Amino acid sequence: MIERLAANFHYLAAVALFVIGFHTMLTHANLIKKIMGMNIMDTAIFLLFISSGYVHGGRAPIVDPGLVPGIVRYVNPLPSALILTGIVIAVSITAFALGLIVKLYQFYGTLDADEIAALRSRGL
Amino acid sequence: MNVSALTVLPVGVFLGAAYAAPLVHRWYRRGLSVVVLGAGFAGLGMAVLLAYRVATTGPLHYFLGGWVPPWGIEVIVDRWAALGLLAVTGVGLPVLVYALYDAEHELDAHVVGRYFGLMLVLMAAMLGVIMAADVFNLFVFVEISSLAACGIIAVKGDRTATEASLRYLILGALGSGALLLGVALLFMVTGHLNLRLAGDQIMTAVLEYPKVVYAGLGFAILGMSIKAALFPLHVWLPDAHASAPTPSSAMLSGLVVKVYIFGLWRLFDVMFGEGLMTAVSVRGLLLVLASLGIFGGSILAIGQDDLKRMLAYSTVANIGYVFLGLGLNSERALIGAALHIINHALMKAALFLAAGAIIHATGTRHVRRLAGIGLRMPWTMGSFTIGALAMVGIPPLNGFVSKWYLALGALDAGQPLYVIVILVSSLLSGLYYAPIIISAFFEPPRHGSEARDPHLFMTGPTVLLAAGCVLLGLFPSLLLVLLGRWAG
Repeated sequence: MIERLAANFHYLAAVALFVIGFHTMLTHANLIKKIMGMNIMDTAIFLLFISSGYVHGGRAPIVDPGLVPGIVRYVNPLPSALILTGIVIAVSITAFALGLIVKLYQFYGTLDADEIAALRSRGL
Repeated sequence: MNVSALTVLPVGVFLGAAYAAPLVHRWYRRGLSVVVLGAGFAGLGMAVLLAYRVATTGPLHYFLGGWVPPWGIEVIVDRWAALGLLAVTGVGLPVLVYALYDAEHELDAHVVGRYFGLMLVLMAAMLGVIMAADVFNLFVFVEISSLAACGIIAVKGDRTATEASLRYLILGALGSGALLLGVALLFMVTGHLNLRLAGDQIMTAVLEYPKVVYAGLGFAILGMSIKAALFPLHVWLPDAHASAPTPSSAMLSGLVVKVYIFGLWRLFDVMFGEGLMTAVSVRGLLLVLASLGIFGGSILAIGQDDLKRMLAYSTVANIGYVFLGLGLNSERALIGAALHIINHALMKAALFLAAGAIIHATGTRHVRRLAGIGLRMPWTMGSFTIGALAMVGIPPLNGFVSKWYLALGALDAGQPLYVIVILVSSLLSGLYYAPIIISAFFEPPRHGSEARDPHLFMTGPTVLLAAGCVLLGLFPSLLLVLLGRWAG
């Protein structure tokens, strides 16, 4: 059990990061911190996805005609390629969210989600 | 297997037009409507052609770049997808026409070009979600559509719209995180991203790594359900749909939430397969949540004073009907769900466009202050009435047809309880639509009301959508030909 966990420590790290991110996103009222939590959570998922494609002792997946096929082990390139797209998506969501937060700050003068809700319920 | 490049062409047309729209608006303002309507008509034409080919020769496939899976990306247009394409392009076109005139008074002049860019990106992404046959491709299109959907809310620029858009964005990001996590876990155990190839592997994967498969399935369904606003996950929907500009509301409520159901449908159908779906009783859970959503959405809608919020809550209830069909899973229930997707898109778009015109003309969003509007705005209020009656499910209208198929499907599935759910909820929806219609037509108008039907290009699309409700109610066979031919 312990050995399996130690061998797959990257998955443990991903789970820990996911929980930290999720907790930050849920418990902090500060909108910027919520976005930070969201980013940590996304990073956790990227780590999980990428590490699933890692082969211990594997080479970069560029086929060299000089090497005998079947003996050389390659890292699976697919997860890395996909996560590149995932990162682009996460960056766009973050940028858009920060833009909206700037706008909310101009409206309400605060970044606190609870204060904004309170101001809104008073009809300001 | 029929291979046709025509399948991906509508996505390309909308994407191209989306990038052209802001530039054209900046350099030659009058060209904007040509670009937008050109893309809309071209998309509709291609969707009709695709639907015709699917109905006559069976599902169409396309492999991007000519690379066959597992290397390449596959695109499928089967009968459900063909219906989805028809819904998106058919309902999207009148909404775009309305938007061309509505944007002038509802939005700042300098954002109009970008607004249409976002609307067209959204339509391209919806078409992409509907025809994706690859989990990662599905994920990417889901993300594009979520971002564009937040954009067309925030474009209004006032406090409520900005706040609603941010909440939608954060919850949507939570949903996409869950979806990507699900995709990652399923990819780890099946080794494929193509839905069909992953589906072939999934039963062996369940035997070997049951927990990973269940977790992946759970996260993927959770992610899609947040975006599709399945009942307890609907909290972002009312604010987002009510505060958006009118054409955006029609697009979001009528089409966007339904598109994610198509994605989920494809996952159930092709990837998870019957074996896994019966093993983990996802369908039972969907049935319970769908019923709760149908009642919860209707009851919350009764309590609303704001016209657009009421329509938004009604969407929560109608999403429940579609999930009900998906949960019942008999052939007729699935046809009912698919019909309800297109029928609800028509009715809700008509209702939102009419509501937008009413709010603009009267200056009030309050449902109790619409006395006598029916006589002052006959075309708009007439369309609203047809949409509302179709919502309730009055026989010659299209809402009746899809509810009828859902009820038959519930009997086929041996679950007559859900027939009662459908009946009771139809009565509930009558409770919040009827007072508006009655006071609009049978009460004297308030003094000093100058409300009139808006410009022809805003009244026209609304009437057209209402006419669609009547047409599909009288001749449902137009769509059933498409759905029935390739049954089983």
